[in-house]
Amino acid sequence: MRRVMIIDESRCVGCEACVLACKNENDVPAGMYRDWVTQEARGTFPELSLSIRSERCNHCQDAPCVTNCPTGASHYRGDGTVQINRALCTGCRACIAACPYGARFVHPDGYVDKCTLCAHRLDRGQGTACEEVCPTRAIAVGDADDPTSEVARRMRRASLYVLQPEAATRPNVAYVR
Amino acid sequence: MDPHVEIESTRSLAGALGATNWGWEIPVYLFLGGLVAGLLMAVCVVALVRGRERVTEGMRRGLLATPVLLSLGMGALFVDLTYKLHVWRFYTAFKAAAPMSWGSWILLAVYPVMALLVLAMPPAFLMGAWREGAGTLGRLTRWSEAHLRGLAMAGLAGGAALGVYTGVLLSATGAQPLWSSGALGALFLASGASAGVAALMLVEREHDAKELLSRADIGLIAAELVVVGLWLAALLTQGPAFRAAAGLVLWGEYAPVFVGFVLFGGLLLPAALEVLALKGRAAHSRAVPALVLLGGMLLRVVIVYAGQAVPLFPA
Repeated sequence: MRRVMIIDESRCVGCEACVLACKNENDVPAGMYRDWVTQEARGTFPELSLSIRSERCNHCQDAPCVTNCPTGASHYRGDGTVQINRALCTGCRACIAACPYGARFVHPDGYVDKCTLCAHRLDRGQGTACEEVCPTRAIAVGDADDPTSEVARRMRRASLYVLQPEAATRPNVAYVR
Repeated sequence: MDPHVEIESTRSLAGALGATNWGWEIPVYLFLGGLVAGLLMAVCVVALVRGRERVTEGMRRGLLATPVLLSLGMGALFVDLTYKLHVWRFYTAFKAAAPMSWGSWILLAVYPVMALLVLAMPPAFLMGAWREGAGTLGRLTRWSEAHLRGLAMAGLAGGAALGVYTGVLLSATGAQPLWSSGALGALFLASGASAGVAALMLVEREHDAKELLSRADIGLIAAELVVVGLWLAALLTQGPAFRAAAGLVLWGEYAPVFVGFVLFGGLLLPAALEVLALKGRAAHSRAVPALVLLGGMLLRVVIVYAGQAVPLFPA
């Protein structure tokens, strides 16, 4: 099992429902976010294009945060996602310095926090909060090793890409255009 | 940034948080760690090469300062932690791939070495009858004196590990172009060694020892300049993010401090004054090592802050 999130950029309308759902579901403190929406305008008038992306921790397979964590607080779960064990976190923030995606923040209680890919919901057989609330079904979460899954179908598309491929982190979160 | 690409993050995490990840505590720790590394290495080299009788009173006082300075540095690290109650977690794990884990254990390992070296080579005001006593301290002192060579080698290795790791800590994070260089380990080692020698020059009173330290410092400054040159040349010959990072310290926001106080005031000027003093054209002034120490501190301030100002992968 390799849990992945594939986001269809062409479906995203930038409503930010994913951001609000995540904050509600995970009780994310005010002013902090586990996911966010980026708008990228490209080109020169009149040949312009706009892409909108819902971004978060990329749950990398070669995660610099896991490598640099001195206590083992940042670790890989059995399904391939990257999680933080709060009991082990010292708040040294080496993981924040190492993350190429700026996906982590310090929770007011002191530990480092980020997207868990709603591991607690996935364990109950539910989808992630952002996936379930997305009105255009731009977000899909599933098992990359299951060829019949929606994510596997999306991963076969030629337009599949990951953020910062030059960082060589092999993200489990990917996008299609 | 490519003029034809405009990125607007409506809910950018970096934008929402705004603050710098690592603040003043980290450069303070990196400086004190490097300084202790330099002091340890300098005193141990003198003990190994020239013998314990050539370890002067000033050097012994410098050695005595190492546990105090390292404790201050570790205090800064503790202040930096956002989950302070979990500080002991550093010592419930060892992760070979994490430089900070190496650093935690290196810090712990050098304390007993420093303590035993101080027992073997104490400054005059700590000499006393207790050294010959039958108590634990007396026995430890006699053991340390008998094993000074081994202790000095351990001190040299511990100092080198401490000095290198402070640079590797930054370069291993990989997400900041200014830090993304193997040269940082060598740079921080050379800078720490130079700071340690400079600190000894501040308290040294014997003329011959001053000359010896001065010669050593000129060599270390020369080595530091070479490594700085390699580090910046590597940045300038890579991609736009690396050039932007180099530009930040060479002609951008941090250039006045880096070029003025680190390169000129902290390296070139003191090296020139030390050469003049060795040729007898100027006196050995305490201002010279003070400039080296100030430059060493500012080097770490610039690298830590400027490093975080230019991300490798802009959001």
